[in-house]
Amino acid sequence: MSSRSTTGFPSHADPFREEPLDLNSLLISNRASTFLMRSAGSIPGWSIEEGDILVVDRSCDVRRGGLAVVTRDGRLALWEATRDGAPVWGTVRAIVRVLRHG
Amino acid sequence: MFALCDCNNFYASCERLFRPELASRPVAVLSNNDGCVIARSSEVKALGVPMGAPYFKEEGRFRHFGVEVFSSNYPLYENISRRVTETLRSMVPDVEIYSIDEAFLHVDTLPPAMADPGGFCREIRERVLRWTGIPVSIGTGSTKTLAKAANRIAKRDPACDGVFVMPDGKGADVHLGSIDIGDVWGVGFRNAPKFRRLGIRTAKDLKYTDEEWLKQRFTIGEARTSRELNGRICFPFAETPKPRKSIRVSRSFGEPVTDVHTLREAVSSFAFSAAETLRGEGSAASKLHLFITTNPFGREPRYANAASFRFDVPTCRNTEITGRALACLERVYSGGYAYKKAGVILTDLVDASNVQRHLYSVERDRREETLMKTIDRLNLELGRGAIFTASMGIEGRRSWGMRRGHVSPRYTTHWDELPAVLPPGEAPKQ
Repeated sequence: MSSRSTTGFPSHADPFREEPLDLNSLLISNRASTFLMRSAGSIPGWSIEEGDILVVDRSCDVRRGGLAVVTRDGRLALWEATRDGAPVWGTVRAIVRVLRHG
Repeated sequence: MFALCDCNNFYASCERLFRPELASRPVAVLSNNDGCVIARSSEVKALGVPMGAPYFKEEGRFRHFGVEVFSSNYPLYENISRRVTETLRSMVPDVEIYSIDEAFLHVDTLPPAMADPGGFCREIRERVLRWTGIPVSIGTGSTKTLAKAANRIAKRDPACDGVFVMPDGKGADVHLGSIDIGDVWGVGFRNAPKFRRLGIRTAKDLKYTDEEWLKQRFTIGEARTSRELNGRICFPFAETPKPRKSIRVSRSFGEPVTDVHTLREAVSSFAFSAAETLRGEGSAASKLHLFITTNPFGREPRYANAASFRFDVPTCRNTEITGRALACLERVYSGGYAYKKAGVILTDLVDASNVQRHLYSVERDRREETLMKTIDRLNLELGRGAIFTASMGIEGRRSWGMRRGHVSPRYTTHWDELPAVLPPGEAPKQ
């Protein structure tokens, strides 16, 4: 519904109107470099379950203790940045799970 | 100054993005319907496979050398192309998209680029590779034609490491002398033999050819190319691409088509799709062309024909466009042939809002317009093919559908086709 009414008086709230929240603005800081992937297994330490969606950004550096996607034996795999590892493909910035039966 | 950024073997690079094991393996991408090779990784180029080679001729060689073959996955390429453009825009405000894998950058207004063009281009290159995973080559020059030539050198000379800055004036001559006349932007393979006969064999030769002489022997176009090679701008930077002059929907059939009914379904579908694109661009078409052809490589009897129709009033209506396309088909169809390809081309496009309507059909037009808008919206919301005309036949029963035996997942545009990531430490599955 438009807040600008065509009859009667304009709303006093009009000047305070803000954009509604958008999950993209929370999960994605760089659209060009962010890719969505799906976890093929669970990682208890990270509360990741099989089928969870991973928000992977190629533009930011992996922090120590962070989670990254690397290439391992020619495959994309998760890697906890605690030790030296394979070439980094991108950094996991968020984990998304939709509850099917919630 | 212009910079031309060109993605290296773009489709092949896209196929490698989520398949790191393909990084050093030969990759080839096939055209719609798996007809010809349309993208080759450097390993496939090294095998001597030419661009556009028919797949059936290369299949044996591909198997022998372990070439990874893909059907074209346009949803993926289009998505990655947009990411590359967005990355370029993060560094250069003026980006002119030239094709799915090429863009001109206008760098005159950027002091760091003007101070050190090579260094700036290397930064762009690194960022595009980092953000999108796509390797690019960048060439710069004082005109688009020179930037295009510089790009060619950047891509081919390993010493350049993907970036080449074309020097101004006579400094360019040694580089232009190494570029074959047929590879100069705007010359094309058709005119190249004529140039060679006249002793103009390289870009440098064309640069030093008299303009008036060129205009007499060729056209104003070739004279302009020569002027551009001299560093005088004839093709200025244009941010917005020109509206298309024509819309073409054509396809090779999965199986050869021998009956007129199937051909009618295919042509209806092409007409529908062309009309949809037309409306999406806010255009109307004045002319329609239809063509049908048998397999040019086959041993069966060959036949090809085409017909055109000019609309009294430019149109973007499904009913009219489909109806005329089918009428054209009736005119050219000849029984007893196995058809391999058909297409509908709409030309002489005009702005739909400027079209003069017939005096008496205003009410009918309005209703048609509402119908078209509703169909387009439903197809956008429910997915392509939700609404179609009966003459297109039912999907699944369409034997003329595309053959795409090696298509990769639509990694970036479908929730159920996202790339999978293995957990840490798990051995890779074979």
